[in-house]
Amino acid sequence: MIKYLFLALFAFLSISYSQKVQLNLKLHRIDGRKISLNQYLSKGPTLINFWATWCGPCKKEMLHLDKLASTYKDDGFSVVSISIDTQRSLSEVKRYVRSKGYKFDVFIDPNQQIFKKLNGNIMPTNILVDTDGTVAWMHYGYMPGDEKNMEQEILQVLK
Amino acid sequence: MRAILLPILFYSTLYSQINLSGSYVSSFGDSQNDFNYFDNRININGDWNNWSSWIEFEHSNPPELGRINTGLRKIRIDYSTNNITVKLGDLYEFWGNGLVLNMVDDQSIDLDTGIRGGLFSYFSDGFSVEMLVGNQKTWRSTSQAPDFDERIPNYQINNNIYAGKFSFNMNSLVNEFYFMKTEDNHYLPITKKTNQLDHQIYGFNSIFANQIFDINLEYVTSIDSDNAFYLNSNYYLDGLTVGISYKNYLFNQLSPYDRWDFVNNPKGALFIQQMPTVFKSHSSLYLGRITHLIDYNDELGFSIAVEKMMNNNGSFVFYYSQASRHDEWASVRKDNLSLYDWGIVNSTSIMPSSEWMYNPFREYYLEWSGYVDTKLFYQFAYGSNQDVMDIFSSQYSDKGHSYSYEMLQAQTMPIMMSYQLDAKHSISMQFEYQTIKKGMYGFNSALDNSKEVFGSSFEKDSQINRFISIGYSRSPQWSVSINIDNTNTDDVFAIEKGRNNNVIENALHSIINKDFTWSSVDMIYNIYNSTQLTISYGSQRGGVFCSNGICRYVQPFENGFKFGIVAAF
Repeated sequence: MIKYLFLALFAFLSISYSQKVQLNLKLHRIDGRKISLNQYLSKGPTLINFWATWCGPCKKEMLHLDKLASTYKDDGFSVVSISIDTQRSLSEVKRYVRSKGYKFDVFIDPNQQIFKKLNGNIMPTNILVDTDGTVAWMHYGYMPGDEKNMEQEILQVLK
Repeated sequence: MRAILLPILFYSTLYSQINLSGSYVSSFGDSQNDFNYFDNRININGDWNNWSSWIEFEHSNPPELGRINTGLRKIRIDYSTNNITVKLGDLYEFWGNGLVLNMVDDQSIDLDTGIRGGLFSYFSDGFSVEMLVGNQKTWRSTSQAPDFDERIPNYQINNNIYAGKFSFNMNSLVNEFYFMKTEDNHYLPITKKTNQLDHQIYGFNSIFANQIFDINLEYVTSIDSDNAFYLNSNYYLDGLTVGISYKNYLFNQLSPYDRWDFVNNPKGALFIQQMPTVFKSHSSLYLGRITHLIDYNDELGFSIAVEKMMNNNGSFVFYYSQASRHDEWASVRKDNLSLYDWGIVNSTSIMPSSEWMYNPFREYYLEWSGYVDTKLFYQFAYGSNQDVMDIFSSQYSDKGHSYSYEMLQAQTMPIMMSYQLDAKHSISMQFEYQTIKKGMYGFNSALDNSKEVFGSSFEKDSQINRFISIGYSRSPQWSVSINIDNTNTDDVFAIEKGRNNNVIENALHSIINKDFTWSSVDMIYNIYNSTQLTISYGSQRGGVFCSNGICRYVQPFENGFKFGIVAAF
């Protein structure tokens, strides 16, 4: 079995490719409706942020995400925030976001299907996607100061 | 395996338009008390025009929690256009609030409610239709089946599932209707026979939202008239948010003795129904350990949450939740014979009872958090919990009411702070203090001058827990933290006695008792942006680990090393 795992790993490392996100990826809104990721990518680069109400570092980071979303909104940049809270604690998501007054759009992924599809594993996970779906930058976790790096990456994509 | 891998490699190399990505997660633990594990998982995602695929391989021998698995774990292929989605393979879907179905794969508590089958959905702006068919084969831990082990589930659930959903939207209103039929191939270890039990559930979910408030209600009922109701409503005022939730789940009324025995009582909430808990999910270590264990068969309750925005992105949160069972159970005489058995003697109304006979649960939680100049983050909280966990006996007689039950009362104060020294460097501190009184209360009315007696679950009357973590990080490369978890007494029935202290605990022994101290040093190193290495040395206290109302006992990790790597490629 192990040799097959390594074979798969080797195969991925040896194939040259650029990771892309499906443009018609369906996102679930809290109200039950679905919309396509392309609605954001058609306007400009998009930062996909995975978080949860029980994740302390995620909440610390959100303040900075809100600032970045406001600062670069006129350049077409958007933040798409996806909560992986399960159905058991989902009611806290909309209340939390509304009470904080965050401007970015919030979606839900309670069974972590989008999280897994975009190779998220640690909370928070941030994925910066260019307009053609190419993953320009991906980062696991949050340490204070990471927002500076994130802003540099956003500026690179906006150039 | 070769038959799966080789075509993937062939097509991925041949056709550049196939977009492949993946992630690798590995964790290894080696402790002196033989809590060892080696978990490896590779997820591979492929996209090609409207097609996408997902494969997960696992090599876990032994896993941290769960059964040994070496080989293909999950596989699925999807076809999706703007209006149509077809999925074949391992499905993870959720409908509404999960009162009908909610498929989750939570590795932290070894909870997997997914099914293997097919799904077809059609959706337009105005309405959508969804149908799914599949089989759920999953494992749970239970003492009612042979080879019970908290770490390795020992009972397999095997359900065939057929379900449909129809929804339509009208401006701010979304309405959904559900139907689900299941064939439960239910194995009874006592008779060693498998019986097929059918369940049918119908449901309705409605969501209305505007700028000032939203309301969501869902009701499901089965052909046996078991039912569940859930309501959530939020009001958004200027700088103030008020949320109210209500649950009323009644799928099976079971005596305190049979309450958690899903093997011999197959009627009731299905494993695929993962419903809202209607109490807070905490990020605090100690509040997480005393999470209320929800009974999806028989529980009603409500919660109120008030969140007020303060200056400097600060906020004040007040949260109150209360729950209980629907009925009071007591030993009653059967058919005028001298035999006694559990029976319902009283019932509550539509609101939860706070009397111990109804297994009440209550939590107050206050939190104040915010920033000072965006550099200093602070969070002060206080939680007060009361939970009647088990009722052992209850009997009314001419002389009074004799009873015995187990209750937990706890006060918890979690504090978190972090300070950004400059653009890259920061320090953090987490401190938690908790007092727990837990044990059995009993009263025997047959004795003269009898008083209520209390027997503590701990070797002392109450347990005092203290946790401190101090960390330093350099963005975006690395962080290091030292964690010390200390208590003053052990459980009377502690599963594992004796310690294998590590060097940190030995060094701290002049200050705190090393027999009741668990300490570790954790380091995180980001090799690349999406490749993270974690190394941990030390010990971790055992106990109940909860995630969203579902709890598992996790054994202590004594004086060892843990390594973990997570990489996306």
